[in-house]
Amino acid sequence: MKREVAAEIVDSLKEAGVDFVATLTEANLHDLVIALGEDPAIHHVPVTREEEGIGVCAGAYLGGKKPAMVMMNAGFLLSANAIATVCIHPGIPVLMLIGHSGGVGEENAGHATVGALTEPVLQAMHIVYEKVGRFEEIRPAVRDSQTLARSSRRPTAIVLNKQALR
Amino acid sequence: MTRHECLSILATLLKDEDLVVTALGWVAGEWHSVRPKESNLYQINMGMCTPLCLGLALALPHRRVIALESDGSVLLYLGNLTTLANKRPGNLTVIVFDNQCYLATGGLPTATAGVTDLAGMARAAGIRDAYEVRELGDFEEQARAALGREGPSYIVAKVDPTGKRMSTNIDGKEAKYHFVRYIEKSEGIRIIGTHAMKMD
Repeated sequence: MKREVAAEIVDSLKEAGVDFVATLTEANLHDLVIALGEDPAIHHVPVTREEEGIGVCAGAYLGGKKPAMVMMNAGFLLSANAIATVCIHPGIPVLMLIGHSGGVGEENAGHATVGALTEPVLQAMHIVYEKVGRFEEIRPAVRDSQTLARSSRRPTAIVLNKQALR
Repeated sequence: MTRHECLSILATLLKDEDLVVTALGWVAGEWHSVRPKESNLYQINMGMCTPLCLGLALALPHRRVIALESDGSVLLYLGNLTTLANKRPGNLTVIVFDNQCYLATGGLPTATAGVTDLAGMARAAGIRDAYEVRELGDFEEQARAALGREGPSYIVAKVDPTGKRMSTNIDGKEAKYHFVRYIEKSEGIRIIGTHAMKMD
């Protein structure tokens, strides 16, 4: 991810009120995780596994924070049970920023299956999501996804495609 | 030593405003029976109780947060020990009731029935104050110490593989609303908006 894209995401998150972010890094998310960690307005919690981050975000919400989780799509798939039981069932909003490896433009053959499964699983879980690639799409997508998460009391997702990640 | 005996002691050590979150299983009903307070949150799904308490403790650093965990639950996401150790929330106490089996689903052994030492793993992860207790007197002493110190503290209480099949009759949705409304009231903040057009 380019540094200006990472900076735009961080700024958009803050403008949307997000003040607590759990992350699990990956090559494509490296600059975003660094930018989040360096921002004093955001409480950053690096986690070891994505489900853990979902739990941490849910707890932060119960304590009055406005949380987001940054992860790759492999981690989202791994987190399906945590999202269902800790967020969707009780009604806890967590904005998820999901890097979409294995989508259009993917050059690594090993990511294709996870890439193809990502949107169907989001849809199966009734998670409303926006696919974002172009720079100018980032700010409104973050703002609107956070608004829906808060009003619907459900997790929402932004799927960052290759254009945003590279 | 039974979990219920430990919980009965713990209840006497807490203030009403201490936030207590229970894992899934009979621990929720047992805790509700000894301390039915609005500052409790019940039935957090397997593996999620300590991570959720970490987020809660970081969000409210001036409140004491107590996680009532089980060995089966903690074993699901052991990486969380390292996150807990590195974030070092001073206000968080995790109590793992280690009955060395998956009691609620029939009683098959967990890894702690074998050679695994959870308190040792917590210490190796970097949680300095991690202790195993096997007697009620030791449990009370460690719980008291944990609540009085800058944490995090991690107590592994080796308990009998028995429990009371108690239900709180509180669903996850209801538990969340009760708890969030209590946090809003006690902290003077708004978490869930009351108007459809303006949430924050």
